[in-house]
Amino acid sequence: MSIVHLQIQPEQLPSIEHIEWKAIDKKYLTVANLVWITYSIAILCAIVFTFFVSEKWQTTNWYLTSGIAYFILVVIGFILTKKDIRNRAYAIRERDVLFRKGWWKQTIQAVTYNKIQHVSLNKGPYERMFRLATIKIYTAGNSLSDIKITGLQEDVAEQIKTFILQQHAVTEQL
Amino acid sequence: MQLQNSYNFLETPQRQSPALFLHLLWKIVRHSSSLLLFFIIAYFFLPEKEDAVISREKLLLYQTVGAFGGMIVVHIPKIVGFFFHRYWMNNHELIVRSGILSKNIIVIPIDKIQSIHLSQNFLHKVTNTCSIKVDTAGSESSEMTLDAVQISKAELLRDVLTNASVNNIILEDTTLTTTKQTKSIVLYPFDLLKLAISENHFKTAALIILFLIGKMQDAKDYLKIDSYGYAEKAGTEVANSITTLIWVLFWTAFITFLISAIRVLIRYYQFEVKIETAGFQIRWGLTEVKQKFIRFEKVALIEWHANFFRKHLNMSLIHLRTLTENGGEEDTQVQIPLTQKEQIEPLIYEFFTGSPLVIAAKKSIHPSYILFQSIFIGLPIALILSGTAAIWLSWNGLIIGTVFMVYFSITMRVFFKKTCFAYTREGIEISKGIWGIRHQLLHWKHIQFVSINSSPFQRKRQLCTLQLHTGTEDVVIPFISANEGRFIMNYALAKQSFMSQLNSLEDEIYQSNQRLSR
Repeated sequence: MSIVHLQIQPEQLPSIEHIEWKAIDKKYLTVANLVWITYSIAILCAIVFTFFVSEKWQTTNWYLTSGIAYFILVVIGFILTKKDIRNRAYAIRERDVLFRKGWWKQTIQAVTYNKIQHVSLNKGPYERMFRLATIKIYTAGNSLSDIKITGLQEDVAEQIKTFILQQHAVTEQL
Repeated sequence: MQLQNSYNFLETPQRQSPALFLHLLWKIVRHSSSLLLFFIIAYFFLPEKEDAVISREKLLLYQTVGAFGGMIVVHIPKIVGFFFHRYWMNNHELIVRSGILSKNIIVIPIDKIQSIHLSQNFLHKVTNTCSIKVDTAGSESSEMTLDAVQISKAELLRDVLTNASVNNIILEDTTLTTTKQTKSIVLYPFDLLKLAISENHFKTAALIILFLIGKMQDAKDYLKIDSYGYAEKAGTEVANSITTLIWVLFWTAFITFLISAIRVLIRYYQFEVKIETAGFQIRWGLTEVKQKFIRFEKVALIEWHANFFRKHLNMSLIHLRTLTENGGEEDTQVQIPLTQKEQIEPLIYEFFTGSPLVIAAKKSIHPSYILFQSIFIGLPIALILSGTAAIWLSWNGLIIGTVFMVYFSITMRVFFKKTCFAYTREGIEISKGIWGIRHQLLHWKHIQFVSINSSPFQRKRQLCTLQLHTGTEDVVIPFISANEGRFIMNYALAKQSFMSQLNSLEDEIYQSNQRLSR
């Protein structure tokens, strides 16, 4: 028996290069900034508590050093958040869902509908304030969500969720 | 016909064997024994308090009764639960009903069963029973666990589930086929010896040292023995005499080998794999005989790896990864030791027509991988090492960092040289390793989702890292060209979405190729 390795023609495959990416809602940047502010306040509280309990750190040098370090950290946090959010986009195709994220390390994730185990729609407190939602897509074997599409308008998120579940049902029947 | 009768029999709700009570009693003894041991040690070693109200003997008696009584109370729900627990089969489903006050019913569709485990410890052997675990991909723990079932009933249940799942037919059909064994792999005493010799002895030694440190801490905490002081004194004595040092090293090596050998014996004694029509039937065990059945189509990823010694002894460990694997728990893993290189191929042929790395063009990763790893991983570690060593050794500390950097760069170069991958219409295979070797073979249909990552370093060189997520272990191909990464991603997605269309398209290409070659 001779085994033949077939040549696969790239042009015959549906390509991810010609995808029209849809950016997430711009309001999500405000949500992400609010989340970062919350974390920053928590970090500030931890620093203040450390100064409060330890007398040897209560010197001008330490106040100044930690103040500058904290300020730089907060500013870098805002810059990175902005750059990261700007690159986030998604694409819903007939047979799969794609999500793009990251600024420094860029990632493209793709999952076909027939591999989806379940989908959940989440709204955090800040997201509710701006009528936004997050769709989490789960595949087999993982307890954590595999693909998380953040910054979707509530009604759009509902539509996408319904579409994904419909397509999942269709592909299951095939 | 025989299986049809078995099925009719299993349609009636069944109880577990009454031997379950014996198992529960053993569990109570086992669980309370560690507590009892502590009380006994305290009785013999701790001094009696002057203001004690009751005698030491009475205290030990009360403590023993308390430990047993407590454990019995903990196990009461299980004891009573026996009378309320039933399991049976109904068409395509396995049903388990349990619960005393609140009733739980678990329905497992047979085609969703990933693996079936049977195990038999010494109590099971005495009572002619065994325990059964049935796993699906739904949760990390087993969906159905029966602690004591008559061995004949358990084997019947396993055979019916196995045949039902492979035939995927209505069980009322009387044309059920019986399981047909095709090939088998058996481990002989010489194979066990080879496995014991090639075990990771450094890992065993580390485990022994950790165990000893734990016991020294216990002796210090509970028995007020200055264990660390004794260890330090013994260490100084060993360091001052070369003969003693050689003896200590000899005995350490001997004990490490002995423990490795015992571990191998416990894990692989009477190990046998039968390749049947539906899947693998694996049987092994010294103190506890275990049987595992795993269906071919439920194997999400095939991996085989060999450390430095095993590679040179032509041995490897094949790991059939399923979605039911729970982290590093050995009990949930399916690992088959292969003592000859030739044993790999027949196993692969159960899933693939051939190994992609053998029948397709081999591709390698980009050489900039060595530079990236050396600069962004090796160099920071070398700097930290040098900095730390400089505290004690001054400028000589730099030598440690430099040596590490040279070693790291060499290993990265070896890794680059050894890493290669290939893909066919069936799946993708990657081979990598530094001193040992590791192969991963994945069918396109078992990919759960795909991702492409790229750092600025990679983007500048138009490279990317491809990650194929399987739900168990991910297949990662680092530093391939961005075009190659996108192509594999497109192909993997197309294979899952347009499987039938793509297969017919590929068949057309195949046929036209055949016509042209004629």
